[in-house]
Amino acid sequence: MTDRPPYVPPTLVRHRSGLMNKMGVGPVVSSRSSVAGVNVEALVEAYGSPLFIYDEQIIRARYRALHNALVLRYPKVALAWSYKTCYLDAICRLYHQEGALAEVVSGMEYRKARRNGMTPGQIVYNGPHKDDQTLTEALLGGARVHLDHFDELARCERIAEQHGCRPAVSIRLNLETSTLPRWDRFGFNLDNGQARDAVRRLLAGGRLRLTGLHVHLGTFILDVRAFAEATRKVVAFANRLRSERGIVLDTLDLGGGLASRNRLRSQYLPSDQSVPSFAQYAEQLVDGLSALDYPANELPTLVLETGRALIDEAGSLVTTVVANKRLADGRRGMVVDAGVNTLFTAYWYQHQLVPTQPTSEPPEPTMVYGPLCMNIDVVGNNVMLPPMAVGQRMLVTPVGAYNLSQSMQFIELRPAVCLVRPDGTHTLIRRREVLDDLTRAEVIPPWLGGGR
Amino acid sequence: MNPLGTKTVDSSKSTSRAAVRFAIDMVLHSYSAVLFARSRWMGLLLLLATLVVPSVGLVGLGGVVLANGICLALALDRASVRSGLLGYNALLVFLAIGAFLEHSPVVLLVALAAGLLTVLMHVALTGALRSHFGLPVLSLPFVLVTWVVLAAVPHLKGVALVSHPPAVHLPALPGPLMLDGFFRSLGAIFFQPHWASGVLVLVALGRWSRIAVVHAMVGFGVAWAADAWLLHFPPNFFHVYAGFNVVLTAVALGGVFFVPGPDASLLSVGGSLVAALVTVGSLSILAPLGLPVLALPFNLVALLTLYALRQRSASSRPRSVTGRDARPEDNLAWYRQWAVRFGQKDGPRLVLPFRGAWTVSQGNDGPHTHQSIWRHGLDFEVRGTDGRWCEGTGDQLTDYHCYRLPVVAPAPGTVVRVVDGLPDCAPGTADTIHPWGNLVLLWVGADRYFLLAHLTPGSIRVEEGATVRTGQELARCGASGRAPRPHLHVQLQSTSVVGAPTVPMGFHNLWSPALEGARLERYGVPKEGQQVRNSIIGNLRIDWPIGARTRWRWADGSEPLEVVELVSQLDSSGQPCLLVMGSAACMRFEIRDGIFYALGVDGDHPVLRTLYAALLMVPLDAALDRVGAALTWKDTIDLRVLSSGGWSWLRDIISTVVPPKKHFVDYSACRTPDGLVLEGRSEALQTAAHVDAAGVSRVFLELQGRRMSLTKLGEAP
Repeated sequence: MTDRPPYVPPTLVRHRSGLMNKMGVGPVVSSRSSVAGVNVEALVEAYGSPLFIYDEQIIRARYRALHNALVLRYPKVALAWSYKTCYLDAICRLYHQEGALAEVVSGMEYRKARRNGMTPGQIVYNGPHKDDQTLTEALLGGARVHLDHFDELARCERIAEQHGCRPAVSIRLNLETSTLPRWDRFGFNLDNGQARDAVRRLLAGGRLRLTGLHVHLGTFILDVRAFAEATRKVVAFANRLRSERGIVLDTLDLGGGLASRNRLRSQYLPSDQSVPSFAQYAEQLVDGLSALDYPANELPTLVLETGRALIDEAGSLVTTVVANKRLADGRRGMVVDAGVNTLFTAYWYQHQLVPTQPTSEPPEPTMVYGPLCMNIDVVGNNVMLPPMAVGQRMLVTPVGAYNLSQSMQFIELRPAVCLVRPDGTHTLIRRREVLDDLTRAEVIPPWLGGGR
Repeated sequence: MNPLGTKTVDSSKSTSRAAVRFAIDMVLHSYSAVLFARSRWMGLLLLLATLVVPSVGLVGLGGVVLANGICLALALDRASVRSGLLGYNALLVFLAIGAFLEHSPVVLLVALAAGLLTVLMHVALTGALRSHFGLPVLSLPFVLVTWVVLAAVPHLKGVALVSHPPAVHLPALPGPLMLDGFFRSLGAIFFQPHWASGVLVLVALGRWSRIAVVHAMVGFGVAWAADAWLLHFPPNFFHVYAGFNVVLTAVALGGVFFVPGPDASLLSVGGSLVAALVTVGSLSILAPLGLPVLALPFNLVALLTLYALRQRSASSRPRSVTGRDARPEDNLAWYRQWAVRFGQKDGPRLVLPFRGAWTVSQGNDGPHTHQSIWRHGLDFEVRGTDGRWCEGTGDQLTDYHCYRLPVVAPAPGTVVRVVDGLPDCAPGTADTIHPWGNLVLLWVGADRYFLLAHLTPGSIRVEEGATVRTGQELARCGASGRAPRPHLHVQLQSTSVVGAPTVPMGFHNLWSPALEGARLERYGVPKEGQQVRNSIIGNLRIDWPIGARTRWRWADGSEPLEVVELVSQLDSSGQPCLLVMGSAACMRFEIRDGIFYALGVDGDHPVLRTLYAALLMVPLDAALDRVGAALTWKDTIDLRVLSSGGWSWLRDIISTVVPPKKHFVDYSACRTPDGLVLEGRSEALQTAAHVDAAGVSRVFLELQGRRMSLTKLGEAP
C-alpha cells in the first residue's frame, strides 16, 4: 500500500470584486451600533447582556402622535396605557406623566396601577376575572369598571347594595365585523341582543348606573375598516340607549388592538407597507362617532386602550453571540443568549436582527437560536446575517411590547432593562435577576432540609 | 290650598305672609323705580318724602295700590309688578293729580280712569319701544296720561285746578340758596318742592348709589348755572320746578344707562346741557297749550341719547349697559369684571373652528390672497412633527395632515349658505373659477357671518337653514376652490354675500402650545405661523354641582380656626355662585371651556374674598395634565372685592372722573404629581391654591399683612 499524502483542505476565498463581480452584488446587511445616540457596547458594559433598551424619546413621541391624531378629530379624548403590555413601573409612570390613564385587566394590575399613583378614577378596569377587593375599591372609587358577564354584574350589584351607593359601570360588547375573527368570549354580544338584555338587567336591578360602552376587537388589527364598522355599530347602540331609555353615556371605550411596525411570521408585506398610520386608525375610529346623537358639549369621552402600538418600536434587545454552528443540512446556525424565554413574541413575529458592528462580509441565511435546550427556541428563521464571531452583539427590534410582561424565568433568569433619555443619559429601570429572585417565594419543608 | 280642597293652618299662614311681603315689595319698589332702583329702603324713604305734603302723598300711595291692583287683575307679569316696574308711572300720575287738582268726588272717578289708562299705556308702550327700538319706556306714560287728564279738566264738571300749591309749614333751610334750590328740585320729582322731601330723596338716592348722587349734583349745577346766567325766567323758577329734568338726565346718563367713568361723566354733563335746552324749548311750546312740561325733556333726551349711542359698536366708550338693576356701582363692577377681563373688540364670541392644534399658514394681510377687502381672513393647516404640511412627497391629497379633518362651528348660529359638489384640486393646482370652493356660511348673530371655505366635496353635514351649536361638526377640510394644497380658510363678514369684505376676527380662549411654554390668550387674533388650539378639558375638574355642600377649615391670622360650610347654588339671574352658609354673601363663578373663572363677590365675606383672589382663573386645560407643565398669565382683579369697608364708595365716586386703575396680578400654574398648584403675585397681594383630582383642596391669600387660608375638610352630609 502506498502512503497517502495528508489531506490538505482547500483554501476557499470569496471574490470581493464588488460591482465587477459577474455573479452580481450580494445583499448588504445594515448594522446599528447605537440606540437613541447611545453606544450599545457601552450599555452592555454597564448592564450586561442580554439587555432590554427602551428609548424614552420614542415612547413620548408615539404617545403624543396618537393623542394628536385623535385630538384633531374628536374633542374629548383619553388614552389609557394598557398595563399588560409592559409591567415596568418606570414605563407605566412615563405614560402617566404624559397624561395617560391606566388600563388593567386583573386585581394584580389594579394594585400595581394604584401603587403608581393612579387614583381609582384614572383606572380602566377590564378583564373577566376581577377579585372582590379591587372590584369593591374600583366601584366605590369611581373607576371605569367594564363588566364582562352577568355574574360580574350580579357581584357589582351586591357590592353596591352592601355599601349603599350607586356606582357607575360600563359594559363590554363583542360584535361581528366583516374581516376580523369574533372574540365572543368577552363581554355581551351586540348582534344577537345579549347586550340589550344586559342593559335591561342592569336598569332593572336599579343598583348600578350605566355610563359607558366598551368594545375591544382583537389584537394587531391591520384592517382599519373593522374599526369603522365596530364604531358605527357601537354608536348606533349608544343612540338607541339614549333615545329609548334616556341613558346618557360619558365614555365610549373603543379598546385597542392597533398594530405596531412589527411583522407577523405569516405576513408577506413588510410592516411599513401593511401597518396603518395613527392618522388612518384615528380617521376610521372617529368617523363613526359623528353619528352620535349627542349635543356638542355633552359628547362622551373617547377612550382608547393601546399598548403595542405605543411601545413596541421603543424597545430593543441587545444579545450576544454565544456559538456558531453548521447544521447537518449545511445551513448556518447561531446561538445567542436570549431566546424565547426572553422574547416570547418571537413565536409569532419576525423580528429584525441587526448586528451592531458594521461589516462588509456577505450575509448568509442563518438560523438564530436561543440558549434554551428546547427545539422550539428559534429567535430568527433564515435571517440574512454576516459571519459574526462569538462575543459580538446583535440588536433585536422591535421588542417593546409584551416581551417583558411575558418573559419567563425558565432556564435563564431575566435580563436587565435600561432606559435611554433624549439627552443621551441612560439609567437602569430593572436590574438583572439573581437566583434569589427565582427562589424567594419558595418554602422548603423541614423534612427536605428547610429549617425555617 | 292643596288639591283636596282643605287648607292647613301652616300653609295659610305662610301664604298670607308671602302675600303681605309681595304687597310691600310691590308698593315700595314702585317708589324706588322712579329713580331707576329696586330697593325697599329707598322706596320707604321716598314714600316718606312724598308725605311731606300729605294730601299729595296719600293720593300717590292710593294710586300705586290701585294701579298694581289693576295689573294683578289683568294678569300681567307678577315679577314685574313685584319689582315696581308697572307701578311707578301710576305713582307719578297720581302725585300729579294730587298736586294739580282740587280734591272732589269726581276726581276719584277721573283718577280711576287715569290709573287704568296709565297701566295700559305703560304696557303698550313698553311692548312697542322694546321690540322695535330696544328702549325702556321711562316715564313717558306718566307724561302722556297727565297731559290727557289736565287737558280734560276744563270740560269736567266739579273738577278744577288747584289755585295755589299747598303750604308747608317748615322752617327755612339754613345755608346757601343753592342748597335749598337743590333739595327743592329733588323734591319736585315727586311734586313736593320742599327741602324736607328733597333731603329724604337725597338720602334715599345716596343710600342706593353714591355715584348717582355725584351726578345729581353735577346735573343740578348745570341747571342752576343755566338759570343764573343764561335764561330769562323768574328767579328760582327754572332750577326748582323744571330743573329736576336735568338732574334725572344727569343721573341716567352718568351711571345708570352707561358704565360710570370719565367718559360717562362727560356725557352726563353734555346731556344735562341738552336737557336744559330741551326743557326751555318745551316750556315755550307747551305754555300756550296750558300743559306743564313734567318729565318730557328728561324722557326725550335720555331715550334719544340711548338710542343714538346704541348705533355704535358694542364696546365703544362710554359703554352702554343693558340690564334691569341698574345701580351705577354694579354697572361699574360688571364692566371691570366682564368687559375688562373678558373684553373683545367687536362681535360674536368665536372659538377656533377645528379640533386639536392647527397652525396659521396665512394670516391677516397675508401675501397670497388675504389682501385689500379680504385682509382679515385666516388660513389654517396642520403641521407635522417635522415642520412640514405633509408627509412623504406631498403629491397626493392624503399626504397632507389636515386633509379630511373635521371642521366645526365656531359659535352658535344658523347656516345661510352651503355650496357643495366642487371637486378637490390636486396638490399644486387651483380652481380659480370658483375660488371659495365648497363652503358653509354661518350667521353668528347681529350682522356677522362666518365663512368656512375649501371644504372637501360630500362632507358637508348641514343644510341651509339649520341651526348649529358651537363645536358641532360641519364638514371636512379639503382642497376645493383656489387651494393649491388642502387648508381651511375662514373669514368674518358683515353681509351674507359669499366673498364680501371681511371684518376683524378674533377668537376666545386661544391656547398656543409652544415648546417653551403654552400661552393662553382670552381673546386674540392668531398670527401667521402661530400654532393655536381651543381649550381642551383636562383630567382635573373643579366641580361644584348645584346643591353641593363642602366643609372647609378657615384660618385667619388674627382669629381662631373655624369651620365654614360652602354651598353652590344658582342666583336669581341663573349664574352659579358659591354661598357661605349663614351669610348672604356669594361668589359668582363660571366654568367655560374647561377654565374656571371667579367673576365677583356680592356682599362681603373674607372666605369668599380669599377664594376669589386665589381662584380668579384656573386653567383646567389638558395642556396642564402632564407633570411639569406650566403656564403663566396676567389677570385683572377687582380691588373693590378685596378692600372691604367704607373707602370703596369714595373710590367709586372718584372713578366718575378718573378711570379705575386696573390691578394686574401675575399668575402661574404648575402641574405636580399631586395636582395643580396656582400662585398669584402682585404688589398688593399674594395667593396660592391647590387643585387635585377631587377639586380645590387648599386656598391661601396674603393681603395687607393678613394671611388667610382655607383647607377643604370634605363633603358635608
